Amino acid sequence: MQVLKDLLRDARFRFGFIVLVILITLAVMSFFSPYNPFRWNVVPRDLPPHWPHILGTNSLGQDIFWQLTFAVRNSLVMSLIAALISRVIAVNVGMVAGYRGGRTDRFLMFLSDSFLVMPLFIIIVLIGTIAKGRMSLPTLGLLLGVFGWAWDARVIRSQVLSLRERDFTYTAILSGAKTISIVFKEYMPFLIPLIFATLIGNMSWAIGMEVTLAILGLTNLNVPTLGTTLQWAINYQALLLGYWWWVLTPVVTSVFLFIALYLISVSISEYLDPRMRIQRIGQQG
Amino acid sequence: MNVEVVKTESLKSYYILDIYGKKRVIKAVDEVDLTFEENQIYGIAGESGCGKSTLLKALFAAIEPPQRIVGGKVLYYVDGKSYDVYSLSEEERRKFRWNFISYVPQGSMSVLNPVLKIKDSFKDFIESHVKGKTKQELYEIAKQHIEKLGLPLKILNAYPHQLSGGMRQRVTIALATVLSPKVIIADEPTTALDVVTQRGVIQLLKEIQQISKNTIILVTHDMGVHANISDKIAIMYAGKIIEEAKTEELFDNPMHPYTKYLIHSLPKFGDKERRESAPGSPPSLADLPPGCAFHPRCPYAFDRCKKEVPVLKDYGRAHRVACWLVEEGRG
Repeated sequence: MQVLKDLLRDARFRFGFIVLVILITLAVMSFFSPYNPFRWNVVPRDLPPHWPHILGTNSLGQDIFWQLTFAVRNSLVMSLIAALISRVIAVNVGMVAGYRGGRTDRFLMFLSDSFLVMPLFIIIVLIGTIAKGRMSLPTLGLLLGVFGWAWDARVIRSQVLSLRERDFTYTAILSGAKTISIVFKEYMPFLIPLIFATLIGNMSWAIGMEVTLAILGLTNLNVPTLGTTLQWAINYQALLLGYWWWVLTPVVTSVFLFIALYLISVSISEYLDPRMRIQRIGQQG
Repeated sequence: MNVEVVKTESLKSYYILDIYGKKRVIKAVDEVDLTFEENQIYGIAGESGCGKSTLLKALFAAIEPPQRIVGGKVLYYVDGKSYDVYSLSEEERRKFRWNFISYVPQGSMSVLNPVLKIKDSFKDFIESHVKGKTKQELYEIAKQHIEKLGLPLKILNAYPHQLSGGMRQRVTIALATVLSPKVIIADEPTTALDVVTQRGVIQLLKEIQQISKNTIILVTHDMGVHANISDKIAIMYAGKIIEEAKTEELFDNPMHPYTKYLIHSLPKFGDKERRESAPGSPPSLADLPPGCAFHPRCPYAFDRCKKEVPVLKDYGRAHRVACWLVEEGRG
């Protein structure tokens, strides 16, 4: 709790945190939705925002506010799956490659370079086309996770490489610490900001990727996400017809989500560096 | 008395480099025979690049390529048994570290993890040897140890960058002694400190030694520090031990010309004469002169010095020298 209190003194964290709490609340509210998100024509069509449809309704006859709660939930879950899976791969590959070096390093970096040079987007489009309509969100998350680790593994590896050559590593080795405890106890504090920054970057990337795929019509369009909401809006010429509430809802939500994630990652990275933290919030027992 | 704790037997540790198919061998530690006894401060002196650090790494069995052990042994005497360090497994070696032999690194910013509080460094180091203690108990051990050494307790909650250089050096000493090891290797513990702080650090080392009766292997090029606390001194030159004697004996009666230069270069009270230093500069370890490595700089060198390598010999009162001048009685 003390940590959260310290973090909340930073305006950037406060903003990001509040936005994220609102979005998570929205996601949780989806469980109490009065409407089934897969049904059409449950409310009057094309109504501008006014009570009881606070964000209006769309041309499919759905309430946009309640659709949004599902969209936020699905997008967050999908991006978390993608980011966590790619984080697990990236951290392990990066640490092992960096600390072991030699042949292990060359092999693992060959692997990650292969993933880097592959035209990722086209492959995902290809897989999306093959699985059209049947690709569930967790599968998409898994797919993005498996493809999204390579660059971050390189970043983590380079940090471990530099840490390995520092004197305190030598002190730790001579203290008789085990390799695993050197990597996890001595190096982890250095890596956590990196892992956080890349985690959040990866989440944004996954959400953006999902939006792109949805607009291309390559995901299951019946499942409401930020991407599919936008896809339906464009498909029904919402912009042309002046249904701004329909287009703006997913756009504004995604923009706020990206900004919030970014600010939180910056603030946490700063907090984890003791020199910066002491400058900002002063010495604590 | 005179119980051996660590011993090297004709230890050879070379750096073997392979540059574009051309092999280069750097003989950083060559035929070193040293015996470290219990309850003793053993000083190793020598100029930069003479192989001191390589010797320490070899003693610790913490070598990484291109450094290699080419021959010889390092023996640890633990509880009456002797172990050849290089025939032990990595896990057994790990257990000896810090418990039996520990290390005070050169006191710079980077030897402590900058993102961990001092108490967490203590906790991690103790934890890798002591099993089944809670975090609080480990902190308690660290606290008692810091108190015993008379250091302020608040440093435990500080980060390394918040401490002064001298305090940081004292913390590394405290860290090295927390498991009360039999042997402590101190690698230039007073370098980069001002003289007042130097004195404090040296006194701390000396006190620890007097209380726990262990062995300190003190490596520094500062002869003044050696004169103050070492019981016995070995002078290293170009990868070899060239002279070894009790401190007083060495300062009163240095035999090797190089040692003479070292000692005569120290300032004395009331003596305003110009101090003479050894002419020339130390040789490259990759390309040593034949015979005695010191002969190009030695004003007394004669033919034999240029051809044959002198061996370390005892000339009474445990004074060992490797010099043909002494051997032939010309010194």
